[in-house]
Amino acid sequence: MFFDALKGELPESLSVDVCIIGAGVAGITIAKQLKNEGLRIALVESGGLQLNPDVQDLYNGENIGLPYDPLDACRLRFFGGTSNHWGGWTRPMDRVDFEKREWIPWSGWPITLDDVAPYYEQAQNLVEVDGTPYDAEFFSPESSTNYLVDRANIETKIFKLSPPTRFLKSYKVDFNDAHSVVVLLNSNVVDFVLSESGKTVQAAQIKTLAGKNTAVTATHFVLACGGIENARILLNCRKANKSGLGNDDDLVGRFFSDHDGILSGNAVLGQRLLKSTFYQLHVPEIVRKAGLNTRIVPAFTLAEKILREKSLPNFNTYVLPVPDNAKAKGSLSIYPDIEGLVNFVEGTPLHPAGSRRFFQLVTAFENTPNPNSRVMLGDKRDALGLLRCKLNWQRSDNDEILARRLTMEFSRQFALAGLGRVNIDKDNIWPQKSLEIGRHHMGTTRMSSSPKHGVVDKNCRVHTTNNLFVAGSSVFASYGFAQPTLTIIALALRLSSHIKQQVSRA
Amino acid sequence: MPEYLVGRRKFIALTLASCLSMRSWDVIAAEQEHGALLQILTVISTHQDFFKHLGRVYAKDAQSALVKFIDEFGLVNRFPSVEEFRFLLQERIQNDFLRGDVLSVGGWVLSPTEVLFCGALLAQAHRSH
Repeated sequence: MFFDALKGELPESLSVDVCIIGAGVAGITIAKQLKNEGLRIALVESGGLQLNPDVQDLYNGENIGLPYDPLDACRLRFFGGTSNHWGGWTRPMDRVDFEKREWIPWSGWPITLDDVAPYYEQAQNLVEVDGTPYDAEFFSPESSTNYLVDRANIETKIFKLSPPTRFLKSYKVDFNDAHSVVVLLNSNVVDFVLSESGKTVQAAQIKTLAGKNTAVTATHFVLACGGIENARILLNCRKANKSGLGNDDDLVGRFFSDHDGILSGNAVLGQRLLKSTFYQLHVPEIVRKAGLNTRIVPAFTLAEKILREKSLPNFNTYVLPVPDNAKAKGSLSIYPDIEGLVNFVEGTPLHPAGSRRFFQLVTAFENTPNPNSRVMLGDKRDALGLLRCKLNWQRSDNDEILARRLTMEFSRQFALAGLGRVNIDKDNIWPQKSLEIGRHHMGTTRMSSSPKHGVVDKNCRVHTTNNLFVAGSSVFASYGFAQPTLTIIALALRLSSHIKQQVSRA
Repeated sequence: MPEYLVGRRKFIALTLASCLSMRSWDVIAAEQEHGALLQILTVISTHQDFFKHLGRVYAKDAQSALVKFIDEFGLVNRFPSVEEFRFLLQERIQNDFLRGDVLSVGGWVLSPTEVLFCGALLAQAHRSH
């Protein structure tokens, strides 16, 4: 059932079992999971059913760190959240992404891939990609086209593309007649009412842009407003603790990260590799595997044992054809000769004149968590009276070290596998100049086993509270390279199970 | 003036000087007028820009690059077929990359054997001229 506060439909008070704040991918997933479990649910959404500039303005903020998108442009504040403009790329995180690795300070989750893996298939269904594995081996044997390359230590990673699923369009219908779920639109959570001990959230205080107020009481609260806004809301709750709710150890908002991409090099490919259709299939040329409706995109990576042996971050590298005019700069002007060398060594014929193809390598890798990269509160207030966001995005110094190391190692392994040769523009590989970031906001309420190292525990509960949970990529402790949406959904499904169990026990 | 042009002049002077003393190589090459090695060495010898860049690595020692290359491949006593030569070359290059023995030439990540090969081609090209 939908109630629009701006249409005067805001109830004077509301008491439910679970109050979910934010109707984006995570919030909607949890509400869908719990709505048939005999629980009363409130799904509180700041926006309505379409973009409203006044509501979107609540996202405005200040960037004081590395150049970043305007904060009101890289996310959407209405039912469905940022799924209303996401690109649709999906991939689970890898096992190594959850592990603590000495060469990546602050890396590691208090859970493993095994804790999340059972939820990935259902997550795939929610974003309308088929439930088959993301393993290259699954696609390779039965494929009629040779688009996978696994040689020596070079491996292929698979991405699957969602249509992309817009959660507004696809899942609003689930709540139209759901009597167990009250969806409050244009309703903003501006504070939490805590018990005397300060450990239990008793109510979420709600305010509208028209100045109306109400409160939702519940036994469980889930904050699901996105990687930046989750931290901002906690930091703005300063009645009990001036540093913010759950922020006793000054960790809320820290470890903000995005997924970096670098132009890691240019490649000349041997004729043998060029015959593979692999290289015809990358963005924007995407394959549709026979018999499946899901489009997939393959990319290179290195074997996990090499990542460990060489102390490298997890990463993937796309091979993108580039126009011939891009080849005539600097050392790249000799690429036809390198191509000649490669083909001579490989025993394959030289390309006919004018038919050479030149390729650019684009690498996305996991950034090192950086406590000094953070979401903070600025001095200005929004229309609700909350302090606006001040984002200070900073990369770790370790990122450059790892980026250079992985680029060199990838180049070596690429040649060792007989795939071609790579040119690294070592003077310009770092800092990145032009490549777009992922707009994946992660890490600001990171998961940890101890409150000294993070904001939420392994069940996504804020360490300092009994009943406030956080959903979304803000809980990511380290980031992998995969787009976060599928893991956000898998974690939301896992959190739904946890809450259901807790309520059952109660 | 770009840095590489200075290096190239120096390199050419050194190469010409050093190649004058390569009597044994001249004799062998002449005797094997239609030999496989000459075919190999001329396969990509038209790529002067390539030599220019790769040659910088061996600018000071182009002659010894050629001598070392010939010596290491046993080419003085035995001229293999192109395929046999390619096999030897591939094996050496594989071993270089496997050991992590790589050189960066103008940003290209290459094996020392490849660069040695190119240095030899460079010396041969200038000797021919």
